[in-house]
Amino acid sequence: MTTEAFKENILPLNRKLLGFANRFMKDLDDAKDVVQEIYVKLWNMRNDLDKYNSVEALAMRMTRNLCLDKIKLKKTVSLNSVVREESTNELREEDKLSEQKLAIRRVKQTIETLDEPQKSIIQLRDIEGYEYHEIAQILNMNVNTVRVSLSRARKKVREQIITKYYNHGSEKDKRSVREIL
Amino acid sequence: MDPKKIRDLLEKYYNGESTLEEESLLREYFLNEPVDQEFIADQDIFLYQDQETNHTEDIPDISEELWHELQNKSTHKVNSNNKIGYFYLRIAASIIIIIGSFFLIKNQVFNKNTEIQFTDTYDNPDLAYQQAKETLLYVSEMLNTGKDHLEPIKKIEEGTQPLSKLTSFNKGLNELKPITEYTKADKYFKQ
Repeated sequence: MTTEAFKENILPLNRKLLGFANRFMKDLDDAKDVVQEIYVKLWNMRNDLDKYNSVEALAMRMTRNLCLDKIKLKKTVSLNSVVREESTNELREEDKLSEQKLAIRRVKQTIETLDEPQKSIIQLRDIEGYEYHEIAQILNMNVNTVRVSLSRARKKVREQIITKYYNHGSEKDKRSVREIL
Repeated sequence: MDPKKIRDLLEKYYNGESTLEEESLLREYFLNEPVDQEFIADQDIFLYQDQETNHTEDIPDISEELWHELQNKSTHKVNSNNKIGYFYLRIAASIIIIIGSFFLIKNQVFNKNTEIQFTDTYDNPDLAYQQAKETLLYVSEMLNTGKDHLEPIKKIEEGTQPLSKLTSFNKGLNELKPITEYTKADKYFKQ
């Protein structure tokens, strides 16, 4: 791939990669570092890029892998605890946010609690808008496995939102009692 | 859109069978129309999706930054040949230093050997003898006065004498060693 082609075709992917990385790293600067690293890698292999039928899928896969690696390294602070911490803060801020914004943030948090690769699949499909076969390529999975995982992930998110936030019965009471204690 | 169609689309959606077009239809629906209570969780989900896909102002375009970085990297690449050159230069330099210092040290040691030669400071041998004798006597005298202060150490010797009997105690202890076998056996019994 020529320098010009690289500039024209690969460079514009940066926002997509950055958004994707940001969802993993939860910090824009960390995400920028990741994307920068990915671009250096892509640049160094630019002569081989024509061999791939989708450089975008390749770049997304590389980004995801690097993010997962970095998160593993940072694992001293467990991700779940961060999410949990956020959600308690969330409840305190509850009044300040509008109903709709709050709902959106709750969905976001619920997706955060999903395991890999379900989380990646749901993000790649519902946010990045990739076709099933593209997701399969990015995650190096079978298309049918992607569909099944996606279906499970979507159902799980819906279920959790309903039981957590719309089931005004016992669940919420338990929660608030726990909060008070 | 009628609820029946929404329900169908949602079912497809949750089964992972919907197309991207169908999903954007759903998104549009939930964004613009007041929804029935049964779809309330679904609406949250699609609102979230809309938020994440269409409101991404906080994600900047860093192409310029990246391109600049890559340009720098590639000019560095040209220099990387020099880098290898530097690498070998460093090795060569250290070898020269090692060899150089080897010769230097060797020379110094060698020179010292030649330098340490006894040269006469006295012309008259008798005078020299006298002088040497005097010096040695003085040294021995000084040693003796120093030694006198060490006299009390003998007392320690006297004190430690009776302690030599302890060796017999040791012998006795050695004979008691077989008792450990007994404790071992005891352990087995306990098990």
